[in-house]
Amino acid sequence: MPMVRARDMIVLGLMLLGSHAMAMVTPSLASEVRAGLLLQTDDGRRSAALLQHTTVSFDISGLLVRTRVEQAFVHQGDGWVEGIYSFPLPDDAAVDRLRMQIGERLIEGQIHAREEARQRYEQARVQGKRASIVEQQRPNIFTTSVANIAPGDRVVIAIEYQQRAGYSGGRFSLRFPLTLMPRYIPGTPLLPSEARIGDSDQRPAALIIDNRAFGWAAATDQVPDAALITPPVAASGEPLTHRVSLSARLKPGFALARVESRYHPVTVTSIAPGELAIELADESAIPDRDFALEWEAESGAQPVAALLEHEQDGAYYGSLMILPPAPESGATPLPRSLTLVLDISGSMHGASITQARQSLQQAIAALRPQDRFNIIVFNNRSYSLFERPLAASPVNRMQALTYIAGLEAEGGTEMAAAIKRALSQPEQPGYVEQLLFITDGAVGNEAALFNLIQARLGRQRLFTVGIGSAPNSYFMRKAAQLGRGTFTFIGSSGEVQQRMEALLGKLDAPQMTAIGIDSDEALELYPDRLPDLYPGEPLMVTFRARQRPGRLTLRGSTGERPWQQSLMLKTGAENPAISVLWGRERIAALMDDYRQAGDPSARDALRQQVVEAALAHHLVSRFTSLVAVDVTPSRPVGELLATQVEKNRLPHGTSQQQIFGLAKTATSAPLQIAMGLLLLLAAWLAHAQGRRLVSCCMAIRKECDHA
Amino acid sequence: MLKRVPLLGVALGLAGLMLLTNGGWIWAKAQLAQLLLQRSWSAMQQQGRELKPWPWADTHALARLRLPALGVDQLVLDGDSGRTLAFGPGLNSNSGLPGSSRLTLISGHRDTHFRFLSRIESGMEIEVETLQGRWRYRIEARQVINIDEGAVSVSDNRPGLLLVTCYPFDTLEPGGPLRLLVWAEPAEQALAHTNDPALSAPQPQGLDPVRI
Repeated sequence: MPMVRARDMIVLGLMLLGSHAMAMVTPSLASEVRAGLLLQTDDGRRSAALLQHTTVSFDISGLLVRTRVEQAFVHQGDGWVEGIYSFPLPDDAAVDRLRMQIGERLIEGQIHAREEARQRYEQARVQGKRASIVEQQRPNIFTTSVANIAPGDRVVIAIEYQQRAGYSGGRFSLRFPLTLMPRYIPGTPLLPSEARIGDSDQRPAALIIDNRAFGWAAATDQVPDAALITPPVAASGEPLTHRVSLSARLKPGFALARVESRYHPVTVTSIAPGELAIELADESAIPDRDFALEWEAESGAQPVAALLEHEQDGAYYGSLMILPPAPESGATPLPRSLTLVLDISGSMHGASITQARQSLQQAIAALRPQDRFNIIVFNNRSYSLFERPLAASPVNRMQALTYIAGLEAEGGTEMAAAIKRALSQPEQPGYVEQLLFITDGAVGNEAALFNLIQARLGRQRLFTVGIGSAPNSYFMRKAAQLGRGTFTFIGSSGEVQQRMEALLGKLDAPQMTAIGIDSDEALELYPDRLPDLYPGEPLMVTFRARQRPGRLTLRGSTGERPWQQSLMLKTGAENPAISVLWGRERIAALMDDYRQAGDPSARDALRQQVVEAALAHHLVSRFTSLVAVDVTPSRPVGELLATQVEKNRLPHGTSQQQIFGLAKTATSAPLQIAMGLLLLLAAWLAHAQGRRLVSCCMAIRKECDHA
Repeated sequence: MLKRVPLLGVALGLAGLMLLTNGGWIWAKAQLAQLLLQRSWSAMQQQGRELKPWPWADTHALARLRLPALGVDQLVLDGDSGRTLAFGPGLNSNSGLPGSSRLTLISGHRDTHFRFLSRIESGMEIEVETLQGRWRYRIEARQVINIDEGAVSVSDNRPGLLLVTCYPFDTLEPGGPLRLLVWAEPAEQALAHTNDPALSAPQPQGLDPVRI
């Protein structure tokens, strides 16, 4: 017995210390960085940054947004250079225009299949002609390359894209990312001969171009194109000259109640009736976090349906937004089984984990006694609080809150294991099974994760909460779409409460399912699998037909109750962007099929369809790029061309050491012991001094009494 | 009135004692955990599978690290998060175990488990034993790097052992940017898994003295 007790004591001591150490030591992960065992710094002869300024202007008209992004490359050093810059764009951006401006001259970009565009660019590069190319690495990661920039040159690359504004819960929104959170690259490194850049299918090496492999991560079996999505990141404290200015013209089409920029101070001026100009207060802002603009209609003026149309090449393109009437709530919601999945990897360190913790606390507070819940956290591994979802009893909740309070963000982002764990929990009959996935989505293996979600979802629903200054919006949107849930962004602690309330409201509310559209015309309609709708969310579809359909019928069901609504389409607002949007939606649908296709010939066929759709609508896609080439060579034969890769800034509120770098290998024990000894000394001194002070006081009082 | 002044001394004294115990706990835990790990390692070797060293552990022993010249014998854990390193040196999860084609990167605290790195010399033998077998390494080089200026690649396909700890050894403050890297080359092919602890250590031959 005494033996056992002694062991228990040790165990208890370890337990106490375990929780103590968690609070005291902030650890970190050693993640891989470029080649070279003991890589010290860059090669020293690094010249000044080429990319000086990005100017972004939005033209918002109703639901449609046209954006122009101008990247100014200025070469102040010597010699000829090629600049490469990887940057984020919204994940639904339909990039359809590239213009290269050198001095007064403008060169318009042409769309080509990716390999062909690359060859044209390479050829121009070798011939000494100025050229630029815009390639898509992920739907929200693009790369601009500019060849043959002369000393003293200023080359402006203007990219334009079309997009639809977000509309949910009566609020319109527009989000523009300004930097890339470094992506975690899972998998086993491939040998250089195995690495294929560009695509994970078995195509031969048309896409392998060595000097394009500019990233800090090596190719792995899970992310063969890792080098293309991991542009260099500026070290903390490293001065970067790159600044950004943003402005927007907003014609909402209704009376505005409110317009607000979430993370950047702006000035708003009225320039015409129903038209506002919005500008960043800071004309040269540091690009380290997403720009988010929101606007809301006056109550009663919220649009409930809108049709935009365009006729082109004998076809009718339509884009329809319709907000179904809110179903009357009355039925008590079913009990639910809520699994909260939290990313505690290194990129979540800092402000992000705080916001994530607050979000979790709010979700737990909103649980009802009849609900069940569980918490799963992950970094290099995944851990779950309970083995299966348990009742939301006060004890279990308390345990969960204690668990959350002790979480630290550190290590890698092995998301697949966490998704598997979350989606393969024991089934909970009689409960609505929901997953809340809280992450910044900083991973490079999105496609594999999407396939996993699709394969294992079953009757569960997955909602994503994008946390931090620069979440991966592509992951958030797609994972939620495949998970038949919704996505939410939380970018600051101040947003947690409002956003989580809205989200938790959606979890409770009955959604509209089995939505379909019938028409008197044959429609090529996207998205081809219509999503379920949560209250306050409109249905947004884009379609192509021979001519404008006379009537559309929407059907669906809320709970068990079927629902139907007919629309007469008399006239819509003409906008040439609608065909572009349709093309972009078609590509997204084809890429969904491509991701799931295992058979190489099926993939090839889909790839071909993507190329056709992209060429028809002049769109950049995974398989097509825009390329602009100057006519006359400018770099003399014999002059060398150096390549320079521009750096991205680490997102606001994150820690470089938590994302890159080695483990923290010192404890605070020596410091604590030294401080402890010092304090003991101080205590002794205070004691001694105190006595003297007391006797001194006594003496003074005596004097006073005498007086 | 009279009692208020000594209170300051008592408060300072209590705070001092608390810090002392906190610091002491960290060191005591580092030692105790290794004892529990030794026991679980013996069990793991018998059963040939992973076992948790204590019921709520979120890691387990992966390998046994020995440096006979300095009498070092420690169990290496899976992962190098702060929670893990409190109990023992940890293998970086992006690196590989000995026997794989990848670099083996093990980190440890400079004031507990990896204190011995302050006394290493080139040519010293290190043995790493996993459930699969035993590997020997010879210390070849060491280097101090500033992690704010560069990083270590663990994606290299170069087998070898890299031990990492904070530097310098006698600073009080944790969290500094300097790391001591100790590089050990594989000495020979894997030894067969036997229970014979004796090493047929070849003498270190004509290596350059280590430089920092």
